[in-house]
Amino acid sequence: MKGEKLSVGTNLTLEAEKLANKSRLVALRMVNKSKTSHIGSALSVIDIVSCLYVSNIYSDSKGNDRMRIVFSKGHAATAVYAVLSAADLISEEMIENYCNDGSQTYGHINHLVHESIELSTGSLGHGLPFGVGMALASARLNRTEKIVVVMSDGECNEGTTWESALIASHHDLSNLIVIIDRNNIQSFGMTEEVLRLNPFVEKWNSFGWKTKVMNGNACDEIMSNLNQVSGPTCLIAETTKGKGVSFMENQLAWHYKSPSDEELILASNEITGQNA
Amino acid sequence: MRNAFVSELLVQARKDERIILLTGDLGYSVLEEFKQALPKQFINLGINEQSSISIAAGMAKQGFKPFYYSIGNFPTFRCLEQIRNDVCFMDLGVCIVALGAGFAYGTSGYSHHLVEDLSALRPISNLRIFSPFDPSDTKEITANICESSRPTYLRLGRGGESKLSNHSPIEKSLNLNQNYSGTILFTGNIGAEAYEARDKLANLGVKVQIASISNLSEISTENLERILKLGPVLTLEEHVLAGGFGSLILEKANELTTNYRIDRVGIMGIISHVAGSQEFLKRNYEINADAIVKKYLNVIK
Repeated sequence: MKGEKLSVGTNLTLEAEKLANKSRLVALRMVNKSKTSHIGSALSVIDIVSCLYVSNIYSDSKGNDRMRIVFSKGHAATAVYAVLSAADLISEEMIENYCNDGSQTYGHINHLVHESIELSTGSLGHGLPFGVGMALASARLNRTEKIVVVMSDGECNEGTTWESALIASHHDLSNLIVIIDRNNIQSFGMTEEVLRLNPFVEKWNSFGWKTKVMNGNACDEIMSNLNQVSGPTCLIAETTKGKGVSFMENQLAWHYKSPSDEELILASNEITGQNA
Repeated sequence: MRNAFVSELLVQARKDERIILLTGDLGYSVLEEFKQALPKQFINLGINEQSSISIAAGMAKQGFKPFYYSIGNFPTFRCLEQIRNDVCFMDLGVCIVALGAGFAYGTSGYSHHLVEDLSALRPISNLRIFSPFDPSDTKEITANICESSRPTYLRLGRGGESKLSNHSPIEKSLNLNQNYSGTILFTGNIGAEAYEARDKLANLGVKVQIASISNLSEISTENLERILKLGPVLTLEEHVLAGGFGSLILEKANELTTNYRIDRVGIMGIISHVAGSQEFLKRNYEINADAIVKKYLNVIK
């Protein structure tokens, strides 16, 4: 996919869906091999990540500004690395070495893995203010690029989220888009049981943002919303943790567990079956 | 020192539009001139230090040279993780400027006493730490910081500090007198107490030299070794002893030689809830001239 000229007639949604499914298989493999956590978190956001990359590859081929992406949800590293691999933007070796000794591809997002990654993350609540800073700078430099920050819903517990929401609105950052992976599960319980976020849309609206709810696991909806927005916009992407693998869906355990070899086969079959 | 910082920053910012001054809602009667002169290079972000550090980092990513200005523990302790992860680990050229080193805001109470920052920040890799000793040193260091683009911490006093021009800053040339009994080595404007101690000791017939270190990250080991070889060294800081400037010197000395005598003057620990003027607090925590004299006489006994 790297360098691929996605032409006017290309169905970007279809490209994103293909990329997402291919990436799911890679992410599952990575987590199985390394026996590490966060596959549930990765699978809920992988459609969003795929759409962002397809969008940028298409922009590149048209000579337009690409979106600058801050992956604030750092623990979804496998999602980002898998998409990069599936799009031929990083080597197979980087995937094989995931979480190996001395590897740059470790359990949280490392900006050194690829130039499209703006910030190394892992501690929640850093990406949005960083993105606000990039957007503030961008506006002052009269650039036309958009800054996109991908967050988790649990992450919105962090105070910097709301500090940043105030600042972005106050400074009319029309070049800033936040996409929240609203999978309703955080690391030790359901979001609404741990720390109630709802009414979530109203909260962002009250802070002066344009807020929209979309199906975060449907590439057509994601792509269509990416095209339309002018910020500061918050896209609340309703997703399912573990999306794509029936036995992983909506389970807190899959925030932590890694699939066994048998589970990997079952999961992979489900995904390729969906594609068939 | 804050005025020296701001005026120099203004000079530099006029030449370099990448320099941008961000403040956490502070700077009343200090930053107005800058704001009026260069409104496009000034933003009051409000009271949100954690977000502000990340914002500064994001701006640096886009090519700006942000200076984040606040008081005491707000731009340091409040947002330590952001300094660590978003500025230093990402190697972004943000300068964090903290006013009120030591007890400069004495009567404001403990929340405003900046006395543990060096210990907290020293462990963070890739952070340059500057602690100027007077307005003139501040001006020079500010210009220096503007010329490069690296993660930096600038520890300033407040206003009205005395000019200290009769000692050896270790970054420049060292004029050490072989006949002197030892050295008082300080960082920051507490050096004024060392000057007074020097005079008091001279009246008692004891000659001591005074040196300072303003750049805590790139210490001239050659010059430090010269000081250590000369005789006993008494370090001085308006900061706690644990992990501070004196500790840094002990660490460096240990790497250089096995033959040294270092004693440290600093705050033993904040054990009471009292506040008061900077003079009072320095006396209370035994880091003023009299305390230095007493300690030094003990060392050379």
